Amino acid sequence: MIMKNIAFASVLCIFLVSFISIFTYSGFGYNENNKVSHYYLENSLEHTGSANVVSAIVWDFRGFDTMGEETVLFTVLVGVFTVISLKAGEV
Amino acid sequence: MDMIVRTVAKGIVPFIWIYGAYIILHGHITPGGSFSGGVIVAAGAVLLIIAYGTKGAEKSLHEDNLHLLEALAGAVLVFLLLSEMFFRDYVTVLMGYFDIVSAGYVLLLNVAGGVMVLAALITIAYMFTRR
Repeated sequence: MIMKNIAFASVLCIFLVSFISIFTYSGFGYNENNKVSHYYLENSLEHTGSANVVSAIVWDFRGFDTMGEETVLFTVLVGVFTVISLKAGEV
Repeated sequence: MDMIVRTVAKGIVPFIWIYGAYIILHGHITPGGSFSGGVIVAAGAVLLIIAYGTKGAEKSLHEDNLHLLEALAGAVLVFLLLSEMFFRDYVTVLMGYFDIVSAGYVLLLNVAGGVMVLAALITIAYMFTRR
């Protein structure tokens, strides 16, 4: 019971500190050095020809990152196939 | 499942697939893209599996064809991304804006990624329902 109270109090402290720090560091996630997002927004149409900025970023500016995501999907498929085949005793 | 679910599924699944294909093919113009369109197509296939069972659904969508589609789409995706490093300046410039056939490699990669996502999700649904 004491351990449960201590765990609850520590989780509450972490939550409160992170909640206060959002208001303390004003402009969380925004700073002057973040220039690449503005570059993407202004130049994506003429660089890629795609009207959808999200598709342009996902498939063109950061194409290798998306190839890693597809690799994750393929790995998930292989993992599910392996686990279910082992459980059914087919391998 | 009973006859009501089967009849509704038979009527509504082609429209779900057409909507998913629309979202995949318009991924470079409107919101959406390969992931969301592939998930919509896979949801239609899951409805087919629930209504007709695995045996009935395999008459129109066999699992071996899905394995082949997944591997083929993955190979095409890697090939397109590697060829984009050398040829993207010659492909993207030729096309206009805001058409269906525009944006060069973004359209091709959307289609390849969408086929990969839908094949993977339908295969996982088959595995979870069969065994």
